[in-house]
Amino acid sequence: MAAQDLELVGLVVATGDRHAFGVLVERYQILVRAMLTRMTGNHALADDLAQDAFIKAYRKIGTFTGQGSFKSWLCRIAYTEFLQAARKRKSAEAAMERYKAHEEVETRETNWDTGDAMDLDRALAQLSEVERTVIVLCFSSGMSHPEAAAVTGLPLGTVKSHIMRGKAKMRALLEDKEAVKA
Amino acid sequence: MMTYDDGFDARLSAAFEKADAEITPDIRFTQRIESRLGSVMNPRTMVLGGAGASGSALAATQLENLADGVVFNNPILTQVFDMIGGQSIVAIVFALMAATFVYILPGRRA
Repeated sequence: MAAQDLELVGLVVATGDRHAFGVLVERYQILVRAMLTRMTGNHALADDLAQDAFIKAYRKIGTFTGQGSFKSWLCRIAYTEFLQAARKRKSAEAAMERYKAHEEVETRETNWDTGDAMDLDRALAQLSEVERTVIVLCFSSGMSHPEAAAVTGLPLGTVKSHIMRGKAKMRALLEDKEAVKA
Repeated sequence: MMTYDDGFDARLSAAFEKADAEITPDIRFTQRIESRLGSVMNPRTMVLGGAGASGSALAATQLENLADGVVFNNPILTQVFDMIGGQSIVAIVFALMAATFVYILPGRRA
């Protein structure tokens, strides 16, 4: 039977067991990589940030108290990594320009089947940073509104407002796209 | 009853699911992280290792007669032994043993 998250975390805290942490990485890598890919719109950058997030989680694992899920705790670290990467480029807007530039290069250089994922990423890029974050957490990572509030550190009401606004923008953008295709 | 938003929620979830399906498990991703962890010393390990090494060194200083009977044939070793003192050498050896134990233990598979 697979070990539970808390058992693995206990093992890592007690002995620093790298293999136990590797099991957690295997278990949550898709969640974290998908979340960061949708937030940045770039696979390579998302994987770099995801790696940094897991290394930081290993260093800080002693601070995980077991209140709330390991998934939420890990996503909070990944979200902080994303914010720090954005702030390093002075502002989130400047960071998004860079991400878009990466995205264009990636699109040209790879044979990655884009289609709907590209439409989705383009629509997400039109949202504000916080709208994009809560939409990704709730619709990609499958979190509840309270979990998204815990990850972002925002009040629950604020999270709900951002989701409402984000969804309205996404609906307009995606339905415009469908109208053009039709 | 399904509302307009409910319908859009479902479509949006499906769009994310489809897009995220392109991200597949990558064993190299896990391996890269595990290799980077090799250079990360757990703070708990450092604290316990430091405490263990200090304690061992302190305990060894109380073993006054442990190094009394040690005789070296090599003149250089004899000179080093006389200069540092047998008791100090025993303390250093004990501390190194404790530190090595703490360093090796976390790397062992559970």
